[in-house]
Amino acid sequence: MSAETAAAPSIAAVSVPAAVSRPRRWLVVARHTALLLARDPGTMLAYTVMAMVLLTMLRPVYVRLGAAGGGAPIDRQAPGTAVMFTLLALDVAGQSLLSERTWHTWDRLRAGSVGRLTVLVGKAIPLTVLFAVQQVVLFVFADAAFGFDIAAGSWRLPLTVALWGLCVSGLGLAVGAWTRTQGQLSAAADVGALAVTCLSGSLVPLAILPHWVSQVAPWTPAYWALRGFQGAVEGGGSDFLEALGVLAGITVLALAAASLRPMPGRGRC
Amino acid sequence: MLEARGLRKRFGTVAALDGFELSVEAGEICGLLGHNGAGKTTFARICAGLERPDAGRVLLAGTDPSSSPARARALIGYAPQEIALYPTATLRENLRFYGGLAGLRRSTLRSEIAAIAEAVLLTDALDRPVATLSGGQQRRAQAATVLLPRPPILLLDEPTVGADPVTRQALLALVRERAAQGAAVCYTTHYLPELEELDATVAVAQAGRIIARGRREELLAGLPSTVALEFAQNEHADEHADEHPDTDTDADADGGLSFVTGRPAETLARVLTSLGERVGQVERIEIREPSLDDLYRHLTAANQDTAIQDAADQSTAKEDEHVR
Repeated sequence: MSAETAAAPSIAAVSVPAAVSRPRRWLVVARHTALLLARDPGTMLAYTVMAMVLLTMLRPVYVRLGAAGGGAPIDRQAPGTAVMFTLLALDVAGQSLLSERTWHTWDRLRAGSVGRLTVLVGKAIPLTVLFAVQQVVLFVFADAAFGFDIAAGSWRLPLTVALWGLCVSGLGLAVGAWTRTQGQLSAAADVGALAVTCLSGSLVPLAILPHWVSQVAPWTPAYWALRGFQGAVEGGGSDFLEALGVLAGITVLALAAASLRPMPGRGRC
Repeated sequence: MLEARGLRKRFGTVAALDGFELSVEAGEICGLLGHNGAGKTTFARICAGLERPDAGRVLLAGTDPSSSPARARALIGYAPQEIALYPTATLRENLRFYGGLAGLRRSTLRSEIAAIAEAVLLTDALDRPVATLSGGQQRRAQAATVLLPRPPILLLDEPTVGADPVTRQALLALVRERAAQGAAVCYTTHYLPELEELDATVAVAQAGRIIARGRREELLAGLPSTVALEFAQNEHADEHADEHPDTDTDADADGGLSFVTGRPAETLARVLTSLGERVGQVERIEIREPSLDDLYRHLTAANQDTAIQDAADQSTAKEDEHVR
């Protein structure tokens, strides 16, 4: 060893590393993803503020429509707005995965024995929390400003918030896995989110939309999220459980779609 | 520690690896040389588990990555050519992340991070976002994330590209240290002097296979040296180039004369004798030993000649067959 090398700081000798448990890897990826999300909060802040502004501006419209929909207008408007803006934030989840490729870190993760499942689970955890916080902020605002009854949702509302957050995370990760460029991601996420919002009745109640929209609505995840929120506020029942079941199914399908996509490059191992 | 046997890999019609064989022992630094497209990066990616070979196998400390991918990958530290760091995170956060994935405990991470940052001269940059670091600093940062977990096998794919001399020296010192601690290092580079600084063994790749492998001294032993003389007056160079037709002699426009020879001492004595009284015109004499550059040029040129000859032979054979 040369004198220069000998003068270097003492670093323990090379060793065969001990196996790292999968849950520990999930936590490491989750903590790191949370850190990266916290470094760039602009998009989520914008979508949250925009949701509160839209809720306020469209309030008179919903009041006038209130009689047609049944129940308190805010009980329809607040969940609809939450569903819409959580969907619009879907590209945050997609970007989280796409960045791993644009930063070339995806290959490093794979070479470091971090499997696709670990990456997806590790990213889904903080993303779900982020989307849940977004919804909670909006519901608290709706409660304080317009009388949305959070308490009526009991345990059902947090459960729906969490499941919808996980569902959007899965959808976003799937979009991130199946797109290759920022342009593709933005187009897919924005157009998709807007289309789903309109077709699900999240923005405008289905009761005043053309009949065909009511027939298409059940094919959108947002429709089931909306039913879940309404069921939670109205006291649960079979409709509520059905909505949660469908959301859970969509989440599993979305995560499966994200995990099955071969990553662009020169092959998959 | 690292063993590749008969690796073959095609991308469409291009054969990236065509019978690639290489083994690197614990504590050895193997410099892997080759033109662009020689198969170096494909080999590294197969070892790192990022590609599957079409044929052949890799063994990492006796573990086959295709049968035990997780176990095998845990043995490897892979630094790709491109910077693969999280630009919005600080260097410390990048190190903490990669160290955490490799299983380093929080209790040891702090001291390990401080040590590796000091070793690559980045202590002052630990809390800066990677995006704000210079290219050379990012290169060192990447090496630090790879070396931090102390993997027993290191695949470093052109780790000093674009690095300034200070950066390069710091990285080379760290690589030497890891090899001294027992790591098997496969070091891909186009900067051949680095391999001499690393005291590395050499493997030369061309067209997807290894065409030469061994210690530098062994590989250089068969190559001729160069005896170079500089004269005060240009006309002497031209005259003497004509007087020694038995050696590979070259006269340059600046009054220099060089002889490529396997026996430099004999050649020099013969040339000086032949100069007679004009020896006083010689201003400078130099005997240049063959370098890795010479070896690389020699091997790749020879191999190319063989390939051209093979192609010509095949073409002739086909023509003969066609005539028959």
